[in-house]
Amino acid sequence: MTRAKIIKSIGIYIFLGLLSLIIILPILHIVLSAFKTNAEIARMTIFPGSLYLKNFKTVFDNPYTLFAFFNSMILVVSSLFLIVIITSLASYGLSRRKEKVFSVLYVVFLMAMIIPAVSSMVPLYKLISSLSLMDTRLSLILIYTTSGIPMGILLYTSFTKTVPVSLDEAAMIEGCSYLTRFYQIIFPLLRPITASLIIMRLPAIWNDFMMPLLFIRDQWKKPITLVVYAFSWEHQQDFGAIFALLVMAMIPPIVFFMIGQRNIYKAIAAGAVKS
Amino acid sequence: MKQLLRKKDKDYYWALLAILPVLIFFIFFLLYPQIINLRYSITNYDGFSKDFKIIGLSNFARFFKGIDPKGIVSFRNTLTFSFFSLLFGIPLQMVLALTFYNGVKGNAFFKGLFYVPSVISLVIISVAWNNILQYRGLLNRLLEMVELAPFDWLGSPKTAMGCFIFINAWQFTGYGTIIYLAGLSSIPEEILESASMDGAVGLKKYFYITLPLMMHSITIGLFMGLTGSLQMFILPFILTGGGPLNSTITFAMNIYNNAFIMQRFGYAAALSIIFTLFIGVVTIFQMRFTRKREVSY
Amino acid sequence: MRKMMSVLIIVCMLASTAVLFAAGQEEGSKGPVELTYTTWMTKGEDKPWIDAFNAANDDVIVKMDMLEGGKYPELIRTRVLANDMPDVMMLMGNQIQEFSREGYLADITDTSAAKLQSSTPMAADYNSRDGKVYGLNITGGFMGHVWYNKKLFSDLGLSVPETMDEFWAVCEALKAADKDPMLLGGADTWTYKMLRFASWTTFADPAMKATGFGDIGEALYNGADVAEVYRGHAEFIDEMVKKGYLIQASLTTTWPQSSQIFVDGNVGMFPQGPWMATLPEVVAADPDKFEMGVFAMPIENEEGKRYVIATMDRFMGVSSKSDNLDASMDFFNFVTSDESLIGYLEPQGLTTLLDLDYELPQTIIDFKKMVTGEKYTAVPYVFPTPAAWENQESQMPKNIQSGATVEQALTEIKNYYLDGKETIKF
Repeated sequence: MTRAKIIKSIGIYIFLGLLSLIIILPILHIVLSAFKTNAEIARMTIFPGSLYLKNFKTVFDNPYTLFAFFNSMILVVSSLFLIVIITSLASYGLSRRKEKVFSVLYVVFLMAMIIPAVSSMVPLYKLISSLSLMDTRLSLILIYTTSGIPMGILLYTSFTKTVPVSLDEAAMIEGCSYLTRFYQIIFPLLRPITASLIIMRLPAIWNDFMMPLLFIRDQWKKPITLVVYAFSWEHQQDFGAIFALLVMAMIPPIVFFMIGQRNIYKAIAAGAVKS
Repeated sequence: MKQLLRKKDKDYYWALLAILPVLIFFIFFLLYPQIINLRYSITNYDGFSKDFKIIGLSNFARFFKGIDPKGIVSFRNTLTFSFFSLLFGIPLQMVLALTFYNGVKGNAFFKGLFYVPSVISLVIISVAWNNILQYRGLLNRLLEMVELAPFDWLGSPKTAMGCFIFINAWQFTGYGTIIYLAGLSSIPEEILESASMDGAVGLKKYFYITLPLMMHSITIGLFMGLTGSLQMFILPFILTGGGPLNSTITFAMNIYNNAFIMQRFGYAAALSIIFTLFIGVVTIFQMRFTRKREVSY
Repeated sequence: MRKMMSVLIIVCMLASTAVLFAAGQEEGSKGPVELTYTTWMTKGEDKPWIDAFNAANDDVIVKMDMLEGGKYPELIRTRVLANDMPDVMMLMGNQIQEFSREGYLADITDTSAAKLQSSTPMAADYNSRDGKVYGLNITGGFMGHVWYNKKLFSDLGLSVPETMDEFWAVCEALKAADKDPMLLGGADTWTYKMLRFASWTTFADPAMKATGFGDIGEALYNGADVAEVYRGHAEFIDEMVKKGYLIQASLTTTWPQSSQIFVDGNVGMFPQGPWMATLPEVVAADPDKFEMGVFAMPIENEEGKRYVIATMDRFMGVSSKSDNLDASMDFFNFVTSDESLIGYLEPQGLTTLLDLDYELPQTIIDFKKMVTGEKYTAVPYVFPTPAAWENQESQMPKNIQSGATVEQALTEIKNYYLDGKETIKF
């Protein structure tokens, strides 16, 4: 390598290194704080005095924590399940027909992305209460499913368009019904997109706390993001426990990301590249 | 021949059936709420009392005439935030994308690391950054250690918004980089090579060849960046509550405050409508602008 | 193999989903009557009540729901709108007004609680509407405590200031010794309220006298100039900030951080509420660095009179929409009997406006003694104000600390009041 190239290389690494430091410092702070006593946290010491594990014990002793993990999982699994099914099916319909009504609907579904979440909060609150669905996880599942529609339609439609129509025709000749055609032939081919969609929507649903804050109040139905409040009382907060909980809540989305890294890049590429 | 045609017709109805579930969700949970917004936006409903009346377009006038003390200010803050977030964020992400594209040892590690902040809960992010940015926080401590003066990052009206621009960048740099990297990767090597051979190098090559060819990914990246930054709400809500001196109150925050804290539910509904229309218009213009510049090969 | 694993994981997750859903559905059990009680005492302070009642009653079970204090009003409102109101509730003052106005509270006029409350006019009036009683005020009392570190004061040879000149001298001495004269956990805006309670009422006196109303909210509603009512306080804050006595870190320090810094011995004065007396950090403080003391700000008007604010904090009410109104009333009467209330207030060191006899922490007794007597007049502040007004009042000194001038801060709060006046409901 030429000298210029070496210098350029070093420069790049310094640049990336600095950025990495900035990225990782806040996260490091949280992890370290999970091992501090409340007094140390309030005093803002940088390193914990010793490996104080009581915070994690507090979190585990709290009966709501375990349920909170279950609740978050229920929300995520159910919502993703619905999103995958309805958007893949809808995309099949949209991608195979040339009629005007379908291309209009395609645009309409995508445009849903521009409706700010805040503007739905207010009326959804009224709608959910009039449907008597207040304080149910079902209400959240329905809302999250709806929020996944634009991304699902975008990804599935782009990809389905690349599946050759000859497969459809072969199935038609064999006498397959529409649904069988879809689920037996097309859907399996969509697996990488399905995986990517799941991985992309998962953190958004897992980490959401605005909707649960509005709609859930039963302690046993709270997802993990709300349980943070369980460690707050009128004039105090057990920050140690809160940090410990936050550290644990960080783990599932990160683990999922690590597993599905390659799929995410593929998914974004599929959406980013000309459809 | 006739048989095939009939099958095709049946297919049409099946396709309609296929989109039905999505349509139902869409109408119920996306469209209908907006209609509810319309309905409440012309009343003075406070969110609770059964006793309210229709007040016509007063809520809209309240915003546009500047009667709402936080109305115009929140709009301005939101625009400022969005503008600078994108101004600093996009070039950074572009540079990173190019860096990764040209190959760096430990590609996967860096890409992964930069992506992590975007999958962490906002609650965690707020707590961490508060500890760092407060007056007696970690950042000032570090500055004092190297003999620099501490500064009230979150408490000073001039820098508070800047903090959020920084935090937002911290959170989404990785995500944007990957989008642009994907866009870069979609350009066939041969085109870039033949361009180099024809004498196009460096910045010229970038602006005239690379950029237009990856414009589609910019359409997407810019779209997500715009919609995301315009709707920014949770971070300032938790960290500063809109202060200091109203320098960090965003439009979305104003909607929330009016709806749930200030008992002006009807007004909040009106603001929601204004907001949706505004974002819609901005993104349509953005799409048009970038779509026109997309180039195929 | 990998495919098998992912299928297995998905199946497990779906299975657990189904199981939990099923488990969730089993809630409607027959047998004893179930009541819901909500509170924002999330440390479980109300639990002894619940346990005692449940133990004494076989046919009724009370379930307690602890909700986050900061969002308590919104959360209860949500439940009310969803026709899922709790049977008995701990409530905040303005909730009593709001719910009784809309008819959501049961009439408790004929209870022993109401009788107990009737001897305290301020509480009795506030909780009544059209001659009927709808709520019981449980905790309340004088506010305006300025806690201080006795050890630090004695180390520096300082004594409790009895005049404002002495107060400024104390501030200067603390500053010279490189300690924080006064700190607030201002990242949590409500902490500024504590300093306001200690340093506003007397200043507001002239403006209020002009309107002839004793209650601040009422004076504001009936035309008192908002800017003038808060001017004294704003100027006081301005001076504190400019001289560096109310330190800049207050803006971004959180409440838990601030109380820890206080007991670590680095802060001279710490305006906060009566709960400081029993706070764990205080109890666990190092006696070599910290000893708890309290005083009231020596602010006087020209006649040598001082005002102190009396507030009401926790209330209790019964839902009129309860499916089990009789059982709910039984529960209410059980926990609001004199002994039950005393058993609640004493261990927590809480003061009340009700006529009950029990032991309080020494510092609370000291403070009470300081603010009763000839010099002092108690001022009520219960008249309705615009939504989120309290937050705005606390925001005003914060604005000054962020760099606004006194005029700017006063103009903003005045505009807020005038703009929000239309949202006041009675």
